[in-house]
Amino acid sequence: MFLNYLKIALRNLAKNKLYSFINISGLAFGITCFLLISIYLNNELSYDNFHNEPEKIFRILRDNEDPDNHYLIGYTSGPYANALKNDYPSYIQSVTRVMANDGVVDYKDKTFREERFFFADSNFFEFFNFPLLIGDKKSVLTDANNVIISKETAKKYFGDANPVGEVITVDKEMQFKITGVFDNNNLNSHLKFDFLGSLLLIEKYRWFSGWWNNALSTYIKVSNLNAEQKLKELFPGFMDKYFGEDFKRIGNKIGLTIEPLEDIYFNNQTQFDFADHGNKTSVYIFSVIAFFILFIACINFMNLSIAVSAGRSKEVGLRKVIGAEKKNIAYQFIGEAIVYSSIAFVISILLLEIILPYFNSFIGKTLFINYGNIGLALASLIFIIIVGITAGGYPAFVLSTVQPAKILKDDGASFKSGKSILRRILVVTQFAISIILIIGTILITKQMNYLSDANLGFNKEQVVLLNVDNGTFRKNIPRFKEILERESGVKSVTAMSGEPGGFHDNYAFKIEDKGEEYVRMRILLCDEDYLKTFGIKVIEGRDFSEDFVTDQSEAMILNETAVKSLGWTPQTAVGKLILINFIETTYRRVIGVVEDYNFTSLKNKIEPLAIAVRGDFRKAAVKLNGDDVKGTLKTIEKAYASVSPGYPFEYEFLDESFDKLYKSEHDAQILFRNFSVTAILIACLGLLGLVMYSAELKRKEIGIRKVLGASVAGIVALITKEFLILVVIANFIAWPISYYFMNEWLSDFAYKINIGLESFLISALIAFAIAVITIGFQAIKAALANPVKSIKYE
Amino acid sequence: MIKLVNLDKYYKNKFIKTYVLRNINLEINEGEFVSIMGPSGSGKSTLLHILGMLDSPSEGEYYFFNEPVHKMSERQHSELHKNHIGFVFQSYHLIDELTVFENLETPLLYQKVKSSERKAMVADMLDRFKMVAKKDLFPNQLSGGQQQLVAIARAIISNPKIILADEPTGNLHTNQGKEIMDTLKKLNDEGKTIIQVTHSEENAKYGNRIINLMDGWIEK
Ligand SMILES: Nc1ncnc2c1ncn2[C@@H]1O[C@H](COP(=O)(O)OP(=O)(O)O)[C@@H](O)[C@H]1O
Ligand SMILES: [Mg+2]
Repeated sequence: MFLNYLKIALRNLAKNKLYSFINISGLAFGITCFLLISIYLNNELSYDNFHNEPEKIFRILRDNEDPDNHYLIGYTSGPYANALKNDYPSYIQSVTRVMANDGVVDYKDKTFREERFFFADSNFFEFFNFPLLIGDKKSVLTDANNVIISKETAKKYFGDANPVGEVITVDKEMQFKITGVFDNNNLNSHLKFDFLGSLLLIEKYRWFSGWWNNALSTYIKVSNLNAEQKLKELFPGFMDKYFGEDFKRIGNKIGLTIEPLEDIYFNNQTQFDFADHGNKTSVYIFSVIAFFILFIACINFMNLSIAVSAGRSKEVGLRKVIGAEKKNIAYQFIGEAIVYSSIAFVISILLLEIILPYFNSFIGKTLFINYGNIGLALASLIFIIIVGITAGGYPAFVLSTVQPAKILKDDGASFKSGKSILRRILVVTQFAISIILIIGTILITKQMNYLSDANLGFNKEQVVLLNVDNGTFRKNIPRFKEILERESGVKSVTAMSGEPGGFHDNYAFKIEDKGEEYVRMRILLCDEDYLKTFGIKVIEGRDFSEDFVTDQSEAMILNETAVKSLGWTPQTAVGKLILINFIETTYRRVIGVVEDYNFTSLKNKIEPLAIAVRGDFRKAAVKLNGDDVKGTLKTIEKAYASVSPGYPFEYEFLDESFDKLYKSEHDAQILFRNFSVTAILIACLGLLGLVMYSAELKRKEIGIRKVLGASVAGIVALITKEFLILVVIANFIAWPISYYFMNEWLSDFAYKINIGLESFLISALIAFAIAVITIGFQAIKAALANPVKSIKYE
Repeated sequence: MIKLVNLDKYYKNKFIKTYVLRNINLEINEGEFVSIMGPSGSGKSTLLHILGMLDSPSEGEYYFFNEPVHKMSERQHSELHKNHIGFVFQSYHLIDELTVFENLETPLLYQKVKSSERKAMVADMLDRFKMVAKKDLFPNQLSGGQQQLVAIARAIISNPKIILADEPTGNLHTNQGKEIMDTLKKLNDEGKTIIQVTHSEENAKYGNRIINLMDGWIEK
């Protein structure tokens, strides 16, 4: 029986080549998108699921408890771990700490900057479940100079040789002995590291035991699942016990909380931590898109199958006459759909293998198809069957109800599926989905263009950024400036705590004429050339200057928003006295006010900002004059080598680093574009099939009309009109839905475009144009056919 | 074997009933060879379809081996139909996508006959109708007469009690038609009940009884 069905299915496939092609390729596209997104989602949702009892592991978070600006901080200091364990032994089973760091690693002739050189307590590998390829879980981190490296890193430095026992040098001074190799290749964790040193080394430093020196993450394993709630209740007492005096002194409180391990990856509330984070919204969006595309592909399949089924009704009638029951017929057509979906599935696996490398380089992950996974194979089988049933179910149902007596009357009258409402609804749905995606693409693109064209209030062109990440360079910044400022290709050089778009800490300030009250503002610490280098405009007072030695400790510049929030005007602000509470003890005098500029990103409103000259640098910026960029970069490299010997020269252009702030939006843009192209392609295939079929059914009608004198144009219009109405309806459905979702998406931005009507009109136009091309070609073909042939044919 | 009592068939179009069959009373015994005659549109095919349970009467009673068919569910209809009735049409109605062999095999598939047995039965049939050489051809590669022979073979392969043939020779040349009629006659001699619709006096003579239909009435 099955073989018989299979034969029929394949023979039909060969007979209706074009239909089959449209059908299978549409389905294959849909399945490819679906699989791609499934693999992506599977990867995203698998973070930190490989640990033992992950539900018992939590990360300690500090809570700034400021109702105006509430956020959580992933950094804690060294003493928390032991204090927690000692104070709550009945709730906390074990603790471990992880510190993120970076450094320059030397081994023989190899030197690399390593961004992910972490340190952890010696129980790390017992606490978490990262598998060790070489080394013993218990003992790999027992000595202060121990380090464990990843498989990839081992390959990079040592090739195929066993790295255990080898000694590497970090930052030109510290020696580490490699004691093991771990494998985190196919494991997804919010902790991403290539090196893991022993925290014992760091513990030796005095700063490590300071409660305020938050430099690491603390993890606890609780003894039972009720502990989470209990601990949260106990934490205020804990903080008062260890910070009571400090809180009183600074007039500010900090809370403590914990978050489950499995929530860390998707937690976007935590503003400061070193964890690898995912975006739950993209996960939702992708899931929805995946189902959409698969859905419209299935719709296609149904639609075409119903269309073709008209031609199969005779076969069905016959089968009933010779003994088939309803269920036999239904099985046959569902079986055929499964054959089609299997073929489509195989094609989509091939497509997927082609696409995956591109997708991987795009999302910066290493997704792959795990062919060895039995569960996956089983899931695929079920998937194929479900798609088959979904796509073939309706045609199967329609055909199984065919009445043989009606079909087989010898006068040859045949079953016609005619103007099925359902098929029209399906096409409308497909187009509505496509239009939603097109509108999304247009609006995202507009917003991105808006962001990149927006006036940020500073000049981000031709600025080279360097990290100030080693003591030698930090010490030699004045010399570095001196060397480069002589160069003709360089306009100016500056060093600062964070570049525009980069890190701007949040500090408490005391305003002299405002009594004991604290004001929180963002802060930027820099040298005298900062404003000049970035072209930030001083609107009142003056810029910092080396001519005033006192600027180093006594001057401050505010932005307009800060001035406004303090209730001043730029004119009255100049001359006011402000204290940077935590790091300084003497007041600084406001010497100038700058025009507001976007020092974070356009996602955020401009906040109050205080700028002061102080040697607390993390970044250096070199402004080029743009003549000979390549040559100037060489010059900078040489200067860097002379002030920071032995460290690799790494730089970035500010405009590029600024663009990275919108990476997720940019990714969304590309994805939307690709998905909308796919969706419209699939929808067109569906429409094409439908039109072809409709033209086929109408052959006789068209023939008679032509004989009666209808023009080709008239007939093309007749066929086209019928389908274009569907596209109009699709637009009306798509518009409000798009409006709603795009409004949501744009609400992430403090600065954004207006959703104008024109994006909607443009996408309607695109949908129309594509539909007209798809339909028109077939319509013209039908209209040009020789009428005599058509009539005879019936 | 077959008994129709006061059987009507009409099509409702809005509020108007169009009668196709009126007050049909008919009894057919096992082993008979009945010919139904009448002008085009008089309801011959409709009657045959009702007899074959492909269509249901609007009113009246239909007994098949004393079982009330008119009271049965669709499922029971298909069950009776597939076990006891073979159909032959004017335009052969073979499945175009299947070979001769597969066309013959299909009814057996629906009756869940085992594969080995199926092969044997199909081979028997091919042998009997001298079509062995043609078993792998598709219907459109055969002449009309050959196709009709295959259709007859398909109708009898599952060993039905009764064969319903709707103008089986209508599309054929005289010679081919004669061959088909001879085949039907032979089947009748072997004990099969046969009901045929025909326009030809000559073909009607193969049977032992003629029923004349006129505008849906049986002429007495
Ligand atoms: N589905 C239907 N709806 C309305 N009238 C029908 C339908 N099927 C058949 N008829 C009518 O029933 C009558 C008898 O048809 P049929 O049994 O095929 O006649 P015959 O086989 O004797 O030529 C015809 O007039 C035909 O138009
Ligand atoms: Mg007829």
